Amino acid sequence: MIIGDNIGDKNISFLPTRTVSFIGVMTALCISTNYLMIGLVNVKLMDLLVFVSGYIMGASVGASVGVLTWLVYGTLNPFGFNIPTLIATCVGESFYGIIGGLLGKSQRKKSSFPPSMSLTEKSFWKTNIKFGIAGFISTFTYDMFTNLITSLVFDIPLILYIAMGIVFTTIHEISNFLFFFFGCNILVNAIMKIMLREVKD
Amino acid sequence: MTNDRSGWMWLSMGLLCAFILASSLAAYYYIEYTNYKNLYVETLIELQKYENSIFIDLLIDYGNGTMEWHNRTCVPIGSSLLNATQAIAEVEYTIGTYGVFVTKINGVGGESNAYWLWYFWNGTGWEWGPVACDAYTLRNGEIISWLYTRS
Repeated sequence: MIIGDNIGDKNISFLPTRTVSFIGVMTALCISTNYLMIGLVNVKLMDLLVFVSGYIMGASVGASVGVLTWLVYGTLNPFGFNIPTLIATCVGESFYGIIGGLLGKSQRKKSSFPPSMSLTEKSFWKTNIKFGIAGFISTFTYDMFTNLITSLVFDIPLILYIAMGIVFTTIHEISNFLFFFFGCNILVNAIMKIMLREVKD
Repeated sequence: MTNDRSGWMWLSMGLLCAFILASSLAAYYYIEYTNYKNLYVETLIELQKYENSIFIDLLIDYGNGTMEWHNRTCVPIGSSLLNATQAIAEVEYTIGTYGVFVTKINGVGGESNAYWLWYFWNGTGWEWGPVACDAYTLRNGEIISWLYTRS
């Protein structure tokens, strides 16, 4: 639960500056990497960054990063703009943030947070595999959800739509598994290091 | 106990990923298999059309520097050179004692002291056609030429 400042007697709360700036920076990072990797269809760092946002700052922050990213990237997109698809991708992308948030919460309860970074430790690889699996499952959920909405919008049978895009969804799932497996732990630790240092300063 | 449950949960999730991946690959290969099977059937049907056909290369040399090659011209087995020429060009002819005598191909011809003569490629050079073009039965892979010759 994020609690901000209260203004006077009225019980109005604002998000802390740290949270707002975190959302801004992560959203900017997602958008810039999306445009940078535009030639690689369905291979994007955005999903990892949204997941990590949720993992560190909670599900609501992760979901916000996902939605904001798609609001920009889905509107100014060279492949075209479509309102129902934009809504589907916004909602779908927030899954990553929510799943990240839930995993982060359970990780905080169970063991050390952030996870271990020692390559020789078994727990490091175990955590990486968990991140990879989480990335794969989240991507599968996202793909199924967006496929469902798009097939309904364009009135294409769902099975046919899934079959048509099976190569792209598989690439998306495998690439995200690899990104999450190799990048998630390192990214979480790097961001936590920066944030903790800021607190100390 | 909680750790055990968590371990089993992650193992199940991992197996679920493997299942999704395997299903996707199976579906992909099934789609590819169906595509290639359809292409194979279409090719067989297409080939059946040419079962009773032969292919020849036919040259029309108008004698003024213009030459037209009609490579891989498909004609039914047993076709004469006249049939093949009629399949690719407009032919005018007269019928004489020795058979058909071509007077015009694609509107070219009919001048005095000029004739349409045909030749076949014997592997090393052009050889004069031994019979009238309607009496010559084509064979698969033959190379034939029509030459507008001025005497």
